[in-house]
Amino acid sequence: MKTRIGDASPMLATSELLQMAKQGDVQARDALLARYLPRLGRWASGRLPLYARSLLDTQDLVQETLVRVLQGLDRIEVRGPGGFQAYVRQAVLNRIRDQVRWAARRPGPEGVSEELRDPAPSPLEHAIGADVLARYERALERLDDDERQLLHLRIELDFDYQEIAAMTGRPSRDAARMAIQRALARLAEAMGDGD
Amino acid sequence: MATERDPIDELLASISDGRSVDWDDATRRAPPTQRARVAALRNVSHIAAFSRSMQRGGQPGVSATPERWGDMLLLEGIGSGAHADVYRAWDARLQREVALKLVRAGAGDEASWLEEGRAAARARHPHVVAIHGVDRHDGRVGLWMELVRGVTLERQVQEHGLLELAEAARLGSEIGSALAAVHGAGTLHRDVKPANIVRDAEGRHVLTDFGLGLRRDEGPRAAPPSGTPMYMAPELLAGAPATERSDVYSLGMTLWFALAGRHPFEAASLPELIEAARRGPMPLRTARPGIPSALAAAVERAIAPAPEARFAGPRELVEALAVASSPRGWRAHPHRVAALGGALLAVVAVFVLWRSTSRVVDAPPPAPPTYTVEASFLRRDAGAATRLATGDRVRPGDRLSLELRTSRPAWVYVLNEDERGERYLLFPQPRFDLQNPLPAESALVLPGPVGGAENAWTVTSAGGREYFLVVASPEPVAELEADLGRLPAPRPGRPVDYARVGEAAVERLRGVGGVAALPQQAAPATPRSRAFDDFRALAGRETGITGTWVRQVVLENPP
Repeated sequence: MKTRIGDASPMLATSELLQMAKQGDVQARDALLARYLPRLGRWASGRLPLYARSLLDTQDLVQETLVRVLQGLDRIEVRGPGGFQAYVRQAVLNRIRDQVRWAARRPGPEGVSEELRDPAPSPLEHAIGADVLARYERALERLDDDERQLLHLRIELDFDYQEIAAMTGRPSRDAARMAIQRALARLAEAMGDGD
Repeated sequence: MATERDPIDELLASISDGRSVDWDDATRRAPPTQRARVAALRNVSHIAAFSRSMQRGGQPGVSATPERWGDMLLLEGIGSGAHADVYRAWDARLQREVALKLVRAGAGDEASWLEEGRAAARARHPHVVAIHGVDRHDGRVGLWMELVRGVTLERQVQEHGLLELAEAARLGSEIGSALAAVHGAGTLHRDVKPANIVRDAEGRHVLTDFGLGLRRDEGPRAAPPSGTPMYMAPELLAGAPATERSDVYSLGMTLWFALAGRHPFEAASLPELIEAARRGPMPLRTARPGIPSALAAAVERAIAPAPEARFAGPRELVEALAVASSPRGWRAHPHRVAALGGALLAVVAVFVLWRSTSRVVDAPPPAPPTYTVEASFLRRDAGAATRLATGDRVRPGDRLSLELRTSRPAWVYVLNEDERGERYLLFPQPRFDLQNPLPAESALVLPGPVGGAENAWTVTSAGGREYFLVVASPEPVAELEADLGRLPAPRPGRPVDYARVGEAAVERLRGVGGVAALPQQAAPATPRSRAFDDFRALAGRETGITGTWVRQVVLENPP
């Protein structure tokens, strides 16, 4: 049955939407896109250095990546409740890295050589420092998919507890809040332990 | 007392909930084994704050604005005036969102702007936007300051109508004391108007926009061009220099707007406006019948066309408003007293600014939330602390602190009455590291450190009795803030100055602090306090509090 997704029931668990999208439900796929695209776009714009943005707008980059992931759902093995989110996050990060590499190789404006070009960091690197960001990313890698998903949704995408509870299939906002705090504790442990 | 939460758990909850954390304090308090974890959490909180800032605002780089200015990352344009553009920006050094005002090239003398920014930064006050710094990069002077999220008074009145009387009086008191602090710092604001007053989510009114200020000792020639004509004093429109009295006029006109719900004049041209300003607006009580005469008289004196007929400065206006708002001032209008009390006790409605659409959404009026206060006076001996209750003895040399925890962020004040009956604010004080509002659910010890070093109040002489008043409120107590605003700016090496508390503040507290149901106390053998003896005694822990809470502690200090 092509069902009940749409404005009236926007908060199905991501795993449910994924299941339906895998079975070819276009509305489920659109609901996933609508849920993540705007926030992923803003998140990605903090990760992409300004000089790498000229040809491809950040939003296009994210949309293209997300659509590609959703189109290939049947070929992706997503393990565990947080697998999809972690996969999408990594896919967008990879796409950003490709874009940065491409931008670094292309000839600079007015013949400026590559060495002289401003090695501008991304806004997030500028804001918090590249070394801190690298430590954060390494620590995230040491968490499991569910923890990574929770932190991505709360810390990076700024979803509220109610939304996160619904998206991750938790019974209440308090359950989501507690789970996020546990994930934060694990993250701090991983960052504090060094590398 | 409630069980203490693990400090790390509190930090996790704060980051997850998006609350701010005093990281220097958290680091200081953390045991050495936890320092690395606290440092990691601090970094995560910065990532979270930056991400929130990205998610809740626009995207960087979407406009033709400069992308960076010094250590600032420009996130989005949020306003622009005749001489400068204002951005929401990320300060990589402070690791926080700020409002950055960038002066346009050619908009006046650069040195004057820099000096102006430094002068504005000296005006530290809870109702003055906090200026973090001023500098020059890439050929542009910039001033960066606290980013106050809220709605301007202008928009509030346009969309929701005129202010309740008590709210307007509070506004006048808060912005008046703010203006006094600005003048105390040696500057004039020159552009006080409804569009430059922001009401934040906690209901605090904040005076913003220092772009037009002028150092008083520089005279009019160095003045950047003028403020908004509608709110400018008639002598300024005629070319005279700005003064404290012209700032008072602008604040008076702003209050007129807030109380009447519309701009004071209609004029099609500048000559018409000058003529209208010379005549003054219609009587306030004609524009809004039912305003108590004392309140109307205070506003109308502030906007007298002749400068010498106005209050000499904002402090005098604040005092007049305090008298007009006191039970005595409202007695002539008994039907308004309930409205005043209600407004003082209720937490004001919260306005949420939806950044994506710039719409302002009026939240439904909340039921007055209740909160819990736990408070005890402590005598601090070497390595130990003894809890004190009313009637306990203290001696010269004793070091006293107040242990305090509130279940929601609160403005806390501690008053002491000396042997001559003079009242002083022991807390807050500009030099203390702890400042209002104090965070919720934190076991705090007041006065807390000064410059990082622990600190306590010391009993200096034997005087019969020591009277203390402890006040907690979900919003600033305007009269006490006004008293604080009179303090000279703190300077290194200068002894701690405590603000003297005026009659109006104690009178106001007496109205909300539990005059009813006084517990029976033994007849005093020594002279009683003239001011504090009507208040209920501090009882350690109290729940179900709404609005302002006031309790007294009397300690015996026999000669």
